[in-house]
Amino acid sequence: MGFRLRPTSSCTRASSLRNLQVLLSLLLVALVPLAVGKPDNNEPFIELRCRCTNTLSGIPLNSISRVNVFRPGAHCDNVEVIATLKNGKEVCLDPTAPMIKKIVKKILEGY
Amino acid sequence: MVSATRSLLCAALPVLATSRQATGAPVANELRCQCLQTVAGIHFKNIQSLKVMPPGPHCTQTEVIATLKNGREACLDPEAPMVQKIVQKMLKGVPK
Repeated sequence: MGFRLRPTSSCTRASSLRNLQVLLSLLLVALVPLAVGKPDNNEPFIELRCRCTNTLSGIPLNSISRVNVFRPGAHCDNVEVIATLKNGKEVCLDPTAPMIKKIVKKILEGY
Repeated sequence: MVSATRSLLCAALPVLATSRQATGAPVANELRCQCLQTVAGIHFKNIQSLKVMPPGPHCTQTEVIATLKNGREACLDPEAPMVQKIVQKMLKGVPK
């Protein structure tokens, strides 16, 4: 009687543990898409840090789809100019570069 | 115990499928003009960020949208001299 009970209990424990591991891995996978989706939600909010680590001093005017200018604030001490290109990429521009000021001016004039 | 974990696994799969589909959805730009009315200018200190959009297939006119510190958005007239001054001031990084 003792020998018969032991193998059955070990089998059930092993199978339930494996199922739990599979379930946990699935949950972890489920978290990743949410993280990926976060950039979509960033539009209404301001990042709580500077976004631009490198800046460009010039890009072709006709490749620009949109330009966002962020004032310095509690989140970042720098002026940040982020251009969205027509291919969907985002690049940081140097706000002190004369070329950038010309680009923004031309956009305002409705080139 | 085994049956309980199986039911949990079955319940988790549809959730995964749903979240993945949502993630894969492309974010489309506005396919039309966003500004119906514009103001000639607002106080510089109220502006948090500025969005400048050149004319394109979605809209034939230049649009300038200011996000205020209270979260609201305002459309500015790109031709108004005040607006152009505001933009230049923004680029210089003038504090309050």
